[in-house]
Amino acid sequence: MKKVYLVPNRCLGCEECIEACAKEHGGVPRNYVLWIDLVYPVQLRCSHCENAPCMRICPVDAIKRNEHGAVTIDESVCIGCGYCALVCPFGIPRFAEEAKKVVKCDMCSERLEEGEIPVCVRNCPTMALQFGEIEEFENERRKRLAKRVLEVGTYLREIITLQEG
Amino acid sequence: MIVTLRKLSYEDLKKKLKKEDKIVIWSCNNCVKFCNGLGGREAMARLKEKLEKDGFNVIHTELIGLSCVLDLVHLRALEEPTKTIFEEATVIIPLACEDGYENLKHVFKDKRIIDVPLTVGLGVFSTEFGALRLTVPFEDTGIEAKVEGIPLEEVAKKLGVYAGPF
Repeated sequence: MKKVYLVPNRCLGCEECIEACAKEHGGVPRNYVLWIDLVYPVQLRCSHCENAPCMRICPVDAIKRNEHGAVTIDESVCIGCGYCALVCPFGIPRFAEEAKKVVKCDMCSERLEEGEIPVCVRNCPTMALQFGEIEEFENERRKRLAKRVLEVGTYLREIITLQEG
Repeated sequence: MIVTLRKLSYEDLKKKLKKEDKIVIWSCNNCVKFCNGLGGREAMARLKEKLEKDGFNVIHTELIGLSCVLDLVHLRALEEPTKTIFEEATVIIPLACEDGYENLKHVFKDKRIIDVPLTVGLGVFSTEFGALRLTVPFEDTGIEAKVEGIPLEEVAKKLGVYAGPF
């Protein structure tokens, strides 16, 4: 299942993801950027957990997983109790004052149906947000690490060869 | 990050606007936010309030991650809901660096883009000082580089311009 992942050291905290999300979803954004110690931005968004606590606790079964694997809230069913926000380990669901409903990231399911990627990923100017399979994402990371191990290995081999004469 | 000051005082800015103008205040949410709060959400809201108090018609405030990314500026012109707003606007006040200003001029060719920014070099945000300081000034500023950086108020004073929000 494809998800949105963050490469933290690429994030500038420009909040373009929030602006894009708000425009896509009628003014209420579904993601967050938090600043730690004034200088470190951290982007937070729904992780569409496999065993989603929000889905389990919803008393009216308004939260379901769709065909894209996104955990979404059916706003016509939501009663705005906020229990999903209470149990979310990331504090993602947001109470939309005007609608008196809770809203959260739907991974831009409408865009996915049209073959597009989530709008936060599309607009991220530093490509800090990536959309893909976790294995694909981790594989890239392993490849980067493997290159570094190889570099270190080559360097060590040179030293050892020198020492051994 | 880039260090940007402003060429205009609030009074100078007002002289460049007409009462019948449909104004959009535009701001990045990165470097300029750290330039003593020249840009960002709060700076835009404050400027909007001031202009409206003085009888100007601010139709929208637009926050963009980075105005120096031309594609993002283009998206504002091409996609709703901003497309309609920018079609209606007659003037844009950019709270961005000079690169952002140039991108706005390139994308919104039929709008008046007020020449606000003066980009003076590169700076570092210091947690020690709690502010951005100019560390690598551009040559044409005639300011000498300092490792510990120069406070933006000092740079603005030297160059006869303004630092911080309107």
